[in-house]
Amino acid sequence: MVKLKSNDDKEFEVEEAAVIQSEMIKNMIEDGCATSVIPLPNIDSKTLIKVIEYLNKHINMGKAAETGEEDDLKEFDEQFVNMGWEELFDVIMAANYLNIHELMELCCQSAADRLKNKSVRAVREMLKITNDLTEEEEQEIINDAPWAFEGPEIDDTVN
Amino acid sequence: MHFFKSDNKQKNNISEHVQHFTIMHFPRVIMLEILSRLPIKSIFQCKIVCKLWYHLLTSDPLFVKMNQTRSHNIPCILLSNGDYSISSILELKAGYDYYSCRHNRPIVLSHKFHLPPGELPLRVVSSCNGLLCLVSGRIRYENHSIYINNPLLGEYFKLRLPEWKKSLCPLTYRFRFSESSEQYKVLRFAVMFGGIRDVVELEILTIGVDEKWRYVGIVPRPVWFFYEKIYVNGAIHWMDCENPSSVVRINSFNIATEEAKTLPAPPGLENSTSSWTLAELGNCLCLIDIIAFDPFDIWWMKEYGIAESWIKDRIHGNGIPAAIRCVTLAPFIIWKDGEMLMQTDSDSIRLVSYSRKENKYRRVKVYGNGSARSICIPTFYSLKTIMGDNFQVSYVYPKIEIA
Repeated sequence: MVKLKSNDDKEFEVEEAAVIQSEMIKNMIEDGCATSVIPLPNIDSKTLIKVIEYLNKHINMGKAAETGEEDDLKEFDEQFVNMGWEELFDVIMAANYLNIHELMELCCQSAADRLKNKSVRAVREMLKITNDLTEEEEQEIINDAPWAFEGPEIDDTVN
Repeated sequence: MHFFKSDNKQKNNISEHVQHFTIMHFPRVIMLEILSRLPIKSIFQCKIVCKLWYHLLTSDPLFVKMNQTRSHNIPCILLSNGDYSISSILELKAGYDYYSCRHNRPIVLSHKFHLPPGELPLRVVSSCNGLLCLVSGRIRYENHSIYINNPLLGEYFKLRLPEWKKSLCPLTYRFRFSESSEQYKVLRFAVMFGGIRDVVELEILTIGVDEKWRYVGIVPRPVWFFYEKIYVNGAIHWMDCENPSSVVRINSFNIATEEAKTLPAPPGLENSTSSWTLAELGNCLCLIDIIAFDPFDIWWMKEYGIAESWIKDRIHGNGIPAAIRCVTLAPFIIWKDGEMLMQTDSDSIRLVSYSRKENKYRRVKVYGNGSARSICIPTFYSLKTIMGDNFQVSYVYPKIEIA
């Protein structure tokens, strides 16, 4: 077992087979730097719980193909990313820091899926982005590719 | 779940010092990880979300690279009209249920896509790595022009053509990239007047290298359509047509080595050249029966260059849904779990997907004008990065300056 400590000082025990999906921790273990507790100063306990949930589920991913559990795993992934934006971004930051490739892929794809076909207004509102382009600049960019700003699939809702 | 509400709840549950991220706090690389996964149309829309995104999506080399590695997952289909003038590009989407869903349809990029300006209609003769080779005017007349164009970026340049000779009548051009020599080449096939009828002259221009077109030699005269993309194993392919009722002969020309060869045809083919079309499907050279409909045959050259590897598939047309009854089916890509995507015989885009496993046809619901020609994987790579910095490139739209 490997012990992980979140930045709000909570400790979690995780099986080594699960935790080595993180390249970062795998390297630490291989280098003998993971003797007692591994502190994770960038990750809070709430996010770490999510990440551990993912790692535990994906522990036998290689075997899933053989045992026909692929669908189960797919369903888990779909449920897993069903979270708010802020939580998703926290998990992305954690996955990036811990270097968990598959989790990074899953979460970034989920973020992209939520943004695709959204109207500009919806994207700004969902992600709380302040527009710093002038109206003239905006118009200039639109004139460059007017086809991108029209079409029946453009979705103006923010969920 | 409405995230604005859950948002406040979350904040109460966590300690004060934890900084929650918005997307703008992400390092550039992570932001690009997300943005590079968007469909093309969304990418263009996201350019006006804010200045940072504008710069990331228009000039960040990492964005271009990431988008390129992902775009193969979401093929685009080049749609063109009966005369091969380009009508639009249709972007398919990964993970989309093409068979039942009516809303959330695939995205059609408009025909106002960034093609070179001009009065004459532009027709696509060849395409490669998301770049188009376009002709304006009639190829057989002196005043035609050839453009290489990146339709996503609106970049283009006009090729300097070989000196016009009255004794030569150009037939077609091909634009290809050679992976092994990492060069783009344009090939021109031209018939010699008063010469031998069944051979053509082949000239080549290596882009960024050759000052002038090089005469390469004579090759068998192709029987082919205006646009074709039969690129397998580093070579282009065609059937020759000395006599359409004669047996099938397949020729290849390797883009890197510039060697012409003959490939073995399937053994014991009963029909002549005129009843087959040569194609590339799933990286295999194929011969598709274009006369018969139900059933029709597809021959696959499973191992390139090996005569014994030709395998025949007999495909029955009887399972076709009544709504799309047709007399010909033209397969053009292998997609989703090995299914074959086929254009049916109509001027509008009507597609069916055929699953060999289930021996079943399904109508693929897409929308757009024109018929499907081939797949095209658009690229955000500038012609300059591809052809060299010294390359003179023109722009369909003037460059925008945003501070």
